[in-house]
Order: sequence, then C-alpha cells, then structure tokens
Amino acid sequence: EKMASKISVVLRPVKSIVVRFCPFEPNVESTRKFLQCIFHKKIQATNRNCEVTADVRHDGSEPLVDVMFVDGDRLIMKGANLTTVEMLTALGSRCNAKDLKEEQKSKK
Amino acid sequence: QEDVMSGYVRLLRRQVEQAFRSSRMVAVCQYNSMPDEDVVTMRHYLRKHNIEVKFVLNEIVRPVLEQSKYRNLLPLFVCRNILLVSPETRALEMLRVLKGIPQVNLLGACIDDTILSRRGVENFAQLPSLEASQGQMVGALALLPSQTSSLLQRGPSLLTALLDEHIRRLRDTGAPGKPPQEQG
Repeated sequence: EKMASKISVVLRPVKSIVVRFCPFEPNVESTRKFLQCIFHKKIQATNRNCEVTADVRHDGSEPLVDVMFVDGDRLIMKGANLTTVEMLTALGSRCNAKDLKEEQKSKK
Repeated sequence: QEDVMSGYVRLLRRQVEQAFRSSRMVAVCQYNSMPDEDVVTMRHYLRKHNIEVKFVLNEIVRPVLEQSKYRNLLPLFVCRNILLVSPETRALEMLRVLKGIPQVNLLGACIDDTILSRRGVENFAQLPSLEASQGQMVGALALLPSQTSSLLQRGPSLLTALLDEHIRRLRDTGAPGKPPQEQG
C-alpha cells in the first residue's frame, strides 16, 4: 500500500495519461490508487505539461490506464488484474528507457 | 486513551450521518493531491454555491453507509475521497467548478435520495429547475384563458372605435350633415 507512493516515475517522455474506470464496480481500486499516485507532487513536478485526466464511466467497461508518449508510443494497462505498484513500475521503467534513448540520441 | 479514540470515532461517524441527513445533495469525489492554496480556492468557489467540502476517512464512512439506505455508494469509498454536500441541488454550478480541477474527480452522488452516477449528475444538471418547469407549465396553461378577456372585448372595442370615428367626423364637418357611409 505505502510502497506505491514511494515509486518514482519521471513523466518527461509522457504526453498524456487517461485513467478510465467505473467507480461503482468492485475491481477499480488499484487503478484509482494509480491515479492518486500520479498526481503526487513529486511525479507531477517531473513534467508539468503532462495532461492527466480521469474518465469516470458507468458502463461496465474495465478499468484502464492509457498512456500516450511524446514519441508516439502508447501504453495501455488494464487495471483489473494489476496492482498499483505493478502499473507504476511498468510506466516508470518505460519512461526511464525512453529517457535513456533520448540521452543517447542527444549525445551523438 | 481507548475511550478517547472511540469517542472521537463516534463523533466523526455522527458528523457523516448528519451530513447525509441534512443535505439534499452529497457528491462523492476522488481527491488526488493538490497544493494547499488550490484546496482553499476550491472551497471558496464551492461555498459561493452553498456547497461544503468535507474530507472523509473511508474507515469512518463505510460503517455509516453500510447500515443506511446509501449502501449502494459503498464501492466508491476506496482511496482518498471528499464529500461535497449542500442543502441545495446546484449540480450545474458544482460541475462548472470541478471542471477546472483535474485533481478532484466526481464519482457519483446522492441527490434528493436518488443515487446517481457521474453521467446522471451531468444529466440532472441540464434539467431546468423545478420552479422553472412549473413556471413554464403554468405559463402554457394560462395562455388560452388570458386571451378570453381580449377576445370578448373585441366586439365592443370595435363598436366603440367606430362610434368615436363617427363623432369625430360629425364634429369636423361642423354640422350634423349626412355622415359618410360606414362599412360593416
């Protein structure tokens, strides 16, 4: 539980994140917690231009995190069977990998 | 120590019960971290529409809801939440304020004892007020009777106008000569 808020994610390579869920369904806690963590000031500070939106539905659709990266890549995480820590870690490692690639490109 | 804690818990529970009992609108929103000044601004703008912001703990709210008619709101109370409560039902104004605050996400609400999803709240906000709807109804019903009076007066009015015109012409010609032929 507490671990989730300790995970750092650098949002620099991220253009936007949409977190979609149906709050009246029972399987949305990890997705909602992900949303809560993403708004943490430390993570928000890594990219003020990254637009984070919550898409609240009531149509039985599954909980989902849709990440659009600046380089056009997309990451979709289906939160029903993932924990918050798993989702944050997955996003964090993608961001780090892209940052690394960017750094290498600029060094050339 | 034990007693003080459970006394405090009882107090908090009573406050939540009170909030539900005395409000026509209780909106449940997920609260994601916001700078303190933004929280103050949000409270200020909602207060203008008679809406109060209440930070609530799930451990306190859940037992209260479980034994009440609002138990269908239970799934909403995970992660961090706030309640927006009001003795009025100004959903449109509430949505307008929340539109500019991405860190607060409306999940659902209970308005006049009816549990609504977020979409339900948006639809409710688009309805004209009860007073406006009643006014429109009364206006529509009153339209026909309002014309009766002027309809009844048309005949006599026309007659009066004709007679006035007749008198005017008699006066103009100076003498009670033959009045010009009137039609009708």
